[in-house]
Amino acid sequence: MNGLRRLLAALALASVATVCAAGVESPPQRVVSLNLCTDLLLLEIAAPTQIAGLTALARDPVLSPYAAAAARLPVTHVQAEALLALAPDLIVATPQAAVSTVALLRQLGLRVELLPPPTTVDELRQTLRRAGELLGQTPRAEALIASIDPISQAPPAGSAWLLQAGGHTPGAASLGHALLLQAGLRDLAQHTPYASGGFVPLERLLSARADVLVLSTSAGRANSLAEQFLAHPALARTSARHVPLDESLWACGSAQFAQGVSRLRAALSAP
Amino acid sequence: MRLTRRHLVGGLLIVLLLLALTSLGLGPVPISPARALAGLWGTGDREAVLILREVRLPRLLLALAIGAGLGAAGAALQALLRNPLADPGLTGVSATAALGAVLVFYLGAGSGYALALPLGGLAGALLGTLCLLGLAHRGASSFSLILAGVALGSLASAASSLVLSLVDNPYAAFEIVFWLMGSLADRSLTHAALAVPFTLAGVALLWRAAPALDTLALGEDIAASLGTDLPRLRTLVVAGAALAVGPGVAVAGLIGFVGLLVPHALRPVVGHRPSVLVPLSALGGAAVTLLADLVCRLLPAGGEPKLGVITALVGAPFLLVLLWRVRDSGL
Repeated sequence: MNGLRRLLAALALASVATVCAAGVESPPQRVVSLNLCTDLLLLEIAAPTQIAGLTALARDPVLSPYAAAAARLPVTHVQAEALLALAPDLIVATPQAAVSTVALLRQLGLRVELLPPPTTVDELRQTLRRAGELLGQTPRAEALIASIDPISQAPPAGSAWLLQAGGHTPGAASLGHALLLQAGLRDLAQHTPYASGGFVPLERLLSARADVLVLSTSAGRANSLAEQFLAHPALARTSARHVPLDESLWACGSAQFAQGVSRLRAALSAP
Repeated sequence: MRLTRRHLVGGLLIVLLLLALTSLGLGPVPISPARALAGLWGTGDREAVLILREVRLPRLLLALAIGAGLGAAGAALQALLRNPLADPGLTGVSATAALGAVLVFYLGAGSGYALALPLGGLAGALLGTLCLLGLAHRGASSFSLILAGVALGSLASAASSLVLSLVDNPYAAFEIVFWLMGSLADRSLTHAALAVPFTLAGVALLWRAAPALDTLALGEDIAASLGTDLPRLRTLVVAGAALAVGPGVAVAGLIGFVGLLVPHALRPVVGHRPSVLVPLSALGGAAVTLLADLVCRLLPAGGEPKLGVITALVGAPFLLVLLWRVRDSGL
């Protein structure tokens, strides 16, 4: 036990030393992410050589749009010991992820930066910009920011529910809501009890006349009750148009959002 | 006025009808009775037709059938095992049915074959019932039989939870509560078509077996000497109970205590004879399940509570009272 503690302390000291030696100005060279959302940001903005560890989820093709790229990069377990062994000079995470691990890592003197998941397009731009600054990759981040269109460009396309598994709608404070707006859709969750997100009862979905149901699923999977909800025969019989949209395009708040908007627009303008 | 059996049947049917109408009339979207009726008939506006026929009707049908199955299976198992606590929930039969359904549904063994789900539940229930019967046959006492049932149920529930935690799907772990507590929310006509025929067939089998169960009250030897074909009777009840419980669990999860509560509530009124108790418990089970489902929908909760929560809230105190009385009577 004592030996382990000494080893941990030594490792921590070594990491602190690297950080100090590297100085504040030069970009971090061993970055580790503790969460799928920060994985995606690293994969978009960091140079591959900067990435010292991603979560295993980054390699899951259902959840991660960059699964192929992540397969060539190291993954790690979100456990303090495994992370210390990587001797990272920067750890990025979302504020909700692995709270106790983050507290311990900070106590041991490692640099942990938290990137809250964006809930609006403006926040998404800020998150990308901040990630660019942290990683010393500002030009890449700015290029991604430029790929996200201003909101005014979409022609009105009617009313819509954005539905996730189990009939959950993400609510106004979410990128999903922003995605509907960017595609010219009016979010039917507004002015209902689900405006801040929640599970919409099937009857409500059938009674509020929607032009479009955006079914935000993880592609190619339906072996859970929650995912089966979206296949309920009553939903298929409504007059609303069904547009499937891969959840990984917006759920995390990465530059994939722009992809999501253009795919949704393309689906809506198709005959 | 003395309460006769005919009064009771009439009363139960009227209660069922009223509950059914309430069940069709209530929901998160307010629909007037006239519009609801037109919707059910298929002549109303599109919205009412969709809500009534595709959302509220399957829910009603499933509540009635599943409740009837649990009630009848409870009464029949109590008679067969001559144990007042032998209900499908308490003896682990529902839990093994849930395990069967979970294995089929999440491991994708039944993808593309709709009947796989109720058959999975059926197989699980059959296995659970056979285990019980085997123990009873070895001469296990009432209490050791129930203990074995509790062990079997815990084992099956734990195995279901383990499968759901290990499945490569982030939603699966959250669905443990559905399988352990049951729910009829947002079930479709497809689900009703998969479960209701099996369940009713099970109730019919149990009803058919019920007169022979009457003789069993005198003991197996006397029953045999009265001409009861015991092996055939056991097979009928085991198959009937598995059919009445398994497919229902496969589409609505594990709903506890109905099979225990209903026969016990009816016995003081109609007596102990299974030939009377089994069909009446089917009616009573349907009424209790429908009522519990209505309570689920009416509680002003953010997410609707699971059906098994309501039946357990009523059923568990009932079980305690029952155990209290069992102790007094020295059973």
